[in-house]
Amino acid sequence: MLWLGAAPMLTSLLLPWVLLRPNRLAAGEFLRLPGAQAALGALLVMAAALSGRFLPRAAPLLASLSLLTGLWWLGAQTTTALTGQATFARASASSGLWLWLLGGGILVYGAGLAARGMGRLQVLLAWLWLPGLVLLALIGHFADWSVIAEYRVQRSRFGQELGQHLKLILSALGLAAVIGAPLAVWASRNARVSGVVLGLAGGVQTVPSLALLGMLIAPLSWLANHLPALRSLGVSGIGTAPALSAMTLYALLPVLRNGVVALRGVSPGALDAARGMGMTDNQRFWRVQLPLALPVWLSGFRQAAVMLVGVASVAQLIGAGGLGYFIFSGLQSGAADLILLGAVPAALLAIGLDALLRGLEALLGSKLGKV
Amino acid sequence: MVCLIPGLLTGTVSRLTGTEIPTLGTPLWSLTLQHLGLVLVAEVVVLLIGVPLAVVVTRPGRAALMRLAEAITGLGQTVPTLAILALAVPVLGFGAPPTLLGLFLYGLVPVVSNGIAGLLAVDQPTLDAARGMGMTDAQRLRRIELPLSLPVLMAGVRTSAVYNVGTATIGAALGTGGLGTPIIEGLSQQNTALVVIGALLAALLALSLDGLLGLAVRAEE
Repeated sequence: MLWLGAAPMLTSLLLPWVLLRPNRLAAGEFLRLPGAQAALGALLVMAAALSGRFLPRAAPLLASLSLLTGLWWLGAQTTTALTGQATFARASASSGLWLWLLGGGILVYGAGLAARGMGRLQVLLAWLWLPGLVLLALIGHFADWSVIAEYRVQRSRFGQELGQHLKLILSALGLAAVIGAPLAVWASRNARVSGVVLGLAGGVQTVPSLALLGMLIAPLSWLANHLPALRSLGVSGIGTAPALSAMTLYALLPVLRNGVVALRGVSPGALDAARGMGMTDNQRFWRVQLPLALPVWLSGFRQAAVMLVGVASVAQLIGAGGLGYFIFSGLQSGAADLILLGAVPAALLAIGLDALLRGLEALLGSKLGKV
Repeated sequence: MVCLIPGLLTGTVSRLTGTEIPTLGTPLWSLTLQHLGLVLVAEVVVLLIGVPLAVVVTRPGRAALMRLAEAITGLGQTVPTLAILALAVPVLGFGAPPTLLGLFLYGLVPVVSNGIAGLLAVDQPTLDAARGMGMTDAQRLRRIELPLSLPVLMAGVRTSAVYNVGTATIGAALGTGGLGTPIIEGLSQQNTALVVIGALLAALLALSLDGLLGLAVRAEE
């Protein structure tokens, strides 16, 4: 499996690593990795791949180092490319670098899997690249990378749109929890209700997110025009209100479905035992059924959160802002760096949220016991 | 399939919402076919790559490879569709290629994970019996494992096709065409009727695909 990561990395050494352009929109020239560094990279990757066979204990460290080297080169090569260029020049990452990072990811993942049988130190070493990456970012190593250059231009806007993105996701999740939790509890006790509720939520899901956002414009602007109280609260046809409504509707299905499955999945034995101990219906729900159902239910929230990161990035189309702002303005002006400035954080946000909530699930699962 | 009769839908929605509907450059039926084409092409590629992948990683002694396959396809599902599409634009340009890539990555997850689940669920005694009958590994795969795991695999194909009908609408933002076109046009012209038409057609397309695939599965059994 280490070879599966090493192969793209070795290939990447033959591809261009940096694209140097006189300004952010112009065509540019591709630069390759200098021969000495490419040879060094090839050696490191070969060592990492071979260590899986001959010295498995060294594999996590070597894999981490290989991935880090690619990140180091991203900063170093863009800086080298830009020396002596005009201030408008941009150096962006090219196919070689992306391929190296992909291979490096597989290498680290493989080494990390194998490290589980070797002890704590090896597992930690397989994650060494992460603090390394943070450190490189903190010392400004990537300052000359075109996406960071774009960020410097857009700094205040970036903070605002990222905040808006997070705000949309968290509010929609909160609303879905407030609406979905009681509904799920009700549906888990009544087969007919659960059929109707899950059917409706499933129906909403077949409507494309783009369309759902658009279809809410009309009813909400009607509401805003006829109920001045709502308008003063900021409800209008475009902007945050329709985006938030659509996102809440979307988040409802996973929250409801997992809620019903989780609450029904609590073993009847546990509930009988609780009844035998003299617990009232209320006590049984709060102390037995809910804690046992929580880990599975939480995974519904995780699915919803990950999906909402995606829906929120489309929300820019109805004027709700978010990271989609950068993606769409980048698409319109053909500025690849601007697209990356929106797409990379959105992707990282989704992956980060997924990992965070998975961790929380595992923690709750081990504390509360499995259903 | 009613959705393919031109004029009927436009008239109804226009009357319901009370808005004039501007004619699009491309007729609706052709957009629908375009949309269907995108989804089907992506689905075929998904099957061509996803099924062999599921078979390869479920062979004995490849547990690590299986986890890698699940991790990578899971990542494809986690990263927002728009981000994948937008990231592909600098490399592949505008139009159908980035959308197809996005549809492929997005559609791969249910097929691979269901393929793996289906193949793992084939029970050991059956396989042992087949081996006892003198079947080779290839014969067992073709005559026992694949047929037995087909229902689970097809469920994955259904999910993936239905999701992709929705995902493909986003491709219109990259100029791919398809049913996202009326939606995006409607959004930029503040014309809800156009949005509703695109949404309705996409939802109908998703439902009919789901139904057709469901029928195919039942006929198979």
